Amino acid sequence: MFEFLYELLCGQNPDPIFASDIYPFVGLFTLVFAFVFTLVFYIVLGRSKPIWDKTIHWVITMIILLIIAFGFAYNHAQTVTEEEENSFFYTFAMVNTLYAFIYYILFSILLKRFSIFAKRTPF
Amino acid sequence: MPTRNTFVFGIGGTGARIVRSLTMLLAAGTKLNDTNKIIPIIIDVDADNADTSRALAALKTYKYIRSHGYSNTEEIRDGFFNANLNTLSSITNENDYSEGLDDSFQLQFENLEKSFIEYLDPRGELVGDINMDLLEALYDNSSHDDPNTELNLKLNQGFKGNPNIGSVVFNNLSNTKEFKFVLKSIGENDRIFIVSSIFGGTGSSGFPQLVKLLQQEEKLRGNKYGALTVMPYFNVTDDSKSAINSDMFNSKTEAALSYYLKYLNGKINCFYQLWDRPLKQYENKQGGIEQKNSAHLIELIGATAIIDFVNKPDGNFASKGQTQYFDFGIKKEDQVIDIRHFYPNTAKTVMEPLTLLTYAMKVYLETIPDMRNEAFFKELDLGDKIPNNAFYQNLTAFLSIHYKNWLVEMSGNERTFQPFNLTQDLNALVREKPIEVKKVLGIVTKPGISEAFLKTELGKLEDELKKSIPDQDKRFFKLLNRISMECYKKLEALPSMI
Repeated sequence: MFEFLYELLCGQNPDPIFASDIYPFVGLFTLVFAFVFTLVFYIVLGRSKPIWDKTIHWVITMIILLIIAFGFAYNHAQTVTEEEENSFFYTFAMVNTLYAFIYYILFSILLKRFSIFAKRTPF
Repeated sequence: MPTRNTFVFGIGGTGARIVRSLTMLLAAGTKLNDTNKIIPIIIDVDADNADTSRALAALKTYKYIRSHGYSNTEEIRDGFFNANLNTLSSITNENDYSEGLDDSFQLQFENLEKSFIEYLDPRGELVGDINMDLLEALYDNSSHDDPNTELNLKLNQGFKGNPNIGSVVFNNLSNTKEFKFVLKSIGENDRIFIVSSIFGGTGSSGFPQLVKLLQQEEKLRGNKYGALTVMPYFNVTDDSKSAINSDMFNSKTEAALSYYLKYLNGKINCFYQLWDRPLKQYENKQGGIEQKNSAHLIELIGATAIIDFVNKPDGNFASKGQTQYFDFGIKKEDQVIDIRHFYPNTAKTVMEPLTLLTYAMKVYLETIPDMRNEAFFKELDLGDKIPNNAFYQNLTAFLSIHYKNWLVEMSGNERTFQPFNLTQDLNALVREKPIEVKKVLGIVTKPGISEAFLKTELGKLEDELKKSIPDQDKRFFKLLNRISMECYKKLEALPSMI
């Protein structure tokens, strides 16, 4: 699934290690991370106290997630391919950031109803 | 479901003011046992009396809030506005003979837009007649042009301290369609309570007449009757142009008490009497829109007499033909009275609900409007509803105009009743019992009722209530009840004297 998602936007990479190792791991990690971030925002914090529940907090949480998604994708591609520089890494990291954003939005729609203090955040 | 109604007649300005206080106590959620409806009926010939107008406005707002704050199918046992305070015409469903009755808390007299002599002799047939001589012997007519002499008093401005006029006019009460409806609609288990002052004109004459008119009906002789007679608790300034003179209050009281003893003893099951050393001198206003006396502690205590009567189990009344007399006492004589001065029963039944409503008032008027960004505020659509929806407009009017002013008036009157510090924050709201705020190294560790506490509790309660109350307005009303209870938990208990 992740191979399809990444190749849809990045194009196919001739190195088979992307399809076999990098895409599944980065894709799953990003998906789980996006879920954990929304879970913490809407359920853990969003049901305990009204301290991290406004739109600005939701945006900050998302920015942190996106930075992690970008950094992790870039770093993991570097580590697995053992290459220092590659323009594809940048494209891949950007696409992963976009998917992290989409996951975050989807999980927000899914989980916000279970929140107490953030059930109207951000929409 | 209880079927017993209690009809509360508030006669004259004092009657209306005590009904006003009763409205506040019931709004606070004071509990009534085994009671279906409370039907307040204000009887005042002074059509423009500001005290009466304020009481009627509070009753009307109460009725609206209750009917929109709870669902029709719900059995309401506790919470703010839980008592079914309703109009005479609300019993229409049970009886068919209320045609043409106004949905009003007031019992209207007819033909009072004239002087007393015109009322007695509308066609001027008594001029030069021997009966006119008799009238002039009984009533003051010393100056024919003076509108303050008894025969020339305008009746729609009240009896201005003249029970001898009131007793004549009250005889005609039985001819009004509202009173005829009252007589028909009182059931055998219903209770009747009459509130009046003894030192004015309307109340002191209306009370015995009303008892007489009610008990003329054979079917109403077995009902439980209660009465509150308020003896002088204020004076008015001297004014030679006014028909009201407070030097006469005590002699009028004495005369009326002698009359009551002779003619009412045994006819009233529970007779409540209230008196206070008059400390306050009100401006001498003869009635109309200018008669707007500030609320007084005595009126609140008077309202507790109604609660006591309504809640009295049937077995606690004296045997037929006997009257029980009740006074009210506080723990200590003071100029400024607060919650500590009341005995535990009154503290529990009256002061605790008042404390809850005062918390709710402060939270609703001062805190919630600043919480626009909170989820509960958006879920309940309060941004749009508070300024535009009729339920919220009525709630705001009741809390900010009726209830708050009532508290403010009592705290400025003498004897002063000041249970709450209304201008201070929620931690200091209850006088003589501040909620402790703890700090360690300058950091607040126990903030009491803080904004964060209110945000947290309002959010959690709204989320909980949403599961059982889908309607936003009814849910908000319940939320207000619950948040006041959370505030009360922080207070732990009411203040008491050591």
